[in-house]
Amino acid sequence: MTAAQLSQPLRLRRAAPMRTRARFADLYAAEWIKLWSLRSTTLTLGAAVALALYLAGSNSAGGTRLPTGPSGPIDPNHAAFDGPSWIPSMIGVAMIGALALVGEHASGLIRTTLVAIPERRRVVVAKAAVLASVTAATALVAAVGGLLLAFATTPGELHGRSLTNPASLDAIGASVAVLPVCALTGMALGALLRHAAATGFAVCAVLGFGPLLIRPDGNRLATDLANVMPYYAWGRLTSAGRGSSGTMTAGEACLILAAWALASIVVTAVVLDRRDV
Amino acid sequence: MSTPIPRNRARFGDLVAAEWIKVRSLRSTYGLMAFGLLFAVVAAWWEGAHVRVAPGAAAQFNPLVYPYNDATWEFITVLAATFGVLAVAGEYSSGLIRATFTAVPDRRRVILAKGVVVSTHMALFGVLTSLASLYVAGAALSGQLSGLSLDRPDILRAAAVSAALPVLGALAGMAIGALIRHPAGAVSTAWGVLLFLPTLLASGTIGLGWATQVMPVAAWEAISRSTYGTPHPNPVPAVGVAWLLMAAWPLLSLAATSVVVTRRDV
Repeated sequence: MTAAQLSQPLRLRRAAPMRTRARFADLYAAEWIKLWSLRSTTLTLGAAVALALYLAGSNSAGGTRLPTGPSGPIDPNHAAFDGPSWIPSMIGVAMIGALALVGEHASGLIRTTLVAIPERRRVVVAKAAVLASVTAATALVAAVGGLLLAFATTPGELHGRSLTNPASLDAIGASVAVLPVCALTGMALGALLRHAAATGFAVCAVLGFGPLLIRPDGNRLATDLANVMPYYAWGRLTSAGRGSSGTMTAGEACLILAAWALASIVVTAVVLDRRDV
Repeated sequence: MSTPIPRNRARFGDLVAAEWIKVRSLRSTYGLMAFGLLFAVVAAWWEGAHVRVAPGAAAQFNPLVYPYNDATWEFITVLAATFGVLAVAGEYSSGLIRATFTAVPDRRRVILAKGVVVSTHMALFGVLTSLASLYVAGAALSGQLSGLSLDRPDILRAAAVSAALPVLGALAGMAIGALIRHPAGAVSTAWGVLLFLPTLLASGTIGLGWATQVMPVAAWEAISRSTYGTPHPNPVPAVGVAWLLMAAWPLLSLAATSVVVTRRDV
C-alpha cells in the first residue's frame, strides 16, 4: 500500500453492499452438497442403474419368454422396461427423497437451514430441484443403457433397433419422468411422517405394494385406483407387457405423473411451512 | 449371621421383563398390530364378498384363498418384520443398546430374550389375525360355497400356519435390523426381502425361479394350500420341505442376529 492510500480516511472506503438473500443457485448448491454427502445416495443410484442394465440384459437373453405378439418381432421395450424390475429402483429413489427430509429433521440440520433461509418454500423448491435433476439423470442412464443392451443382446429379429423411434423415445421419456416423481413422492411422505422407519414403510407400501395389490385388470374401482399410480402410468407409456394398462390414454398417464410431482412439492411446502421444526 | 450374597447375574426372566417393557413402551407396537388386524379383516371381507366362480369351475373352488390370500399375508409378514426391525434397530438408534449391553454383557442372552418377547407378541397377533380372517371371509362368503370352519383338518392347518407366519417374519426382521441398524434402510430391506424379492423371482425376469420356493410366503402357501387355480401358479415347495423352511427361517434369523450383534461394536 502506498502512503497516499493509507492517508485516505477510512470512512470514505465503503464496503460493497452485502448480499443477504441467498440466490436460488446457492440453495441448489447447499442441497446438492447435503444429498451427495450421504453414502446411501451413491449406493442407491448406482444400484438402480446396475439393476436396470442387468435385468435388460437377462430379459433379452432369455427372449423366448417375452411376449412376441402376433407378427413375431420382439419389442425391446419389453426387455428394458419389464414392470417388476423397475420397482426396486422406484423405491430406492423414493427413499433418497424421503431421507433428504427425514434425515435433516433427525440430525437437526433443518433448524440451521431454516434459520439461514427463513423462506421455507424456497428450501423445498431447491430440494425438489436437486432430487428431480439427479434422479432424472440416473433414469436417463438406466433407460438408454438398458435399451442399448436390449438392442445388442436380443436374439432374432427385432423391430426398431434405434433409440430415435417413437416407442423408444416414449419409454425413455416416461422413465426419466417416473424416477423424479417417485423421489418427490418420497420427499412428501418424509415431510408428513418425519420418522425414518415409518417413512420407509409408507414409501414401500405406496410405491411398491400398491401396484402389486391393486392391478388394472379387476373391476372398475380397482382399475381406476391402479391407473392413478405412478407405476401404471409409467407402464402405459413404456408399453411393456406387465405393468402396462390399456385402460388410459398416454396423455392421461402424463397428467398423472405430473400431478404426483406437483402434489408432492405442494404437500412438502405446506407441511414444512406450517410445522415447527 | 451373614448377609445374603447379592444376586448380580440377571436371570432370564429379568431379561424377558426388560425386553417386555421396551416393546410395550413403543406406540408403534400397538399401531402395527392394530393396523395389521384391520388390514387382514378388510382384505378378507373384500375377497370373500367379491368372489366370481365360473359356472363350470365349482369343483375347483377353494375357499381357503379368500381368508388366506397371498398378497394380504405377504403384507402381514412385512408388518411383523417391521416390528422385529424396530425392536433391534430402534434400540441402536436411540443408544439404549449401550446401557443394555453394559448391564448384561452376555449379548446372546439379550437377543434370546428379545426373540422370546417379539415371538410372543407376534404369535398372539398371528392367532388373532388368522382367526379374524377366517371368520370374516367365511361370513362374507356365506350363502355361496363357504364351509370355512376349524373342524376341517386342512383349514385348521391353514389357520395354524398363518398364525405362525408373523413370528417368522418378525424374527427375520430382527436379523435385518441387526444387519442394517438404520430404521429406514432396515424397513425397506425387510420389504425387499419378504415381498419384492419373491415377486421379482416369480416373475421369471432373472433366471432364478426356483428360488421363489424357499421364500417364507411360498412355504406358507404350500402348507396352507391357499393357491389360486391360475394357469401359472407360483412354484411352491413340497409340504415336508415347507415345514422345514418354516422352522429354518426363524432359527437361522435368530442365529444371524445373535452372531452379528455379538461381533459388532455398539
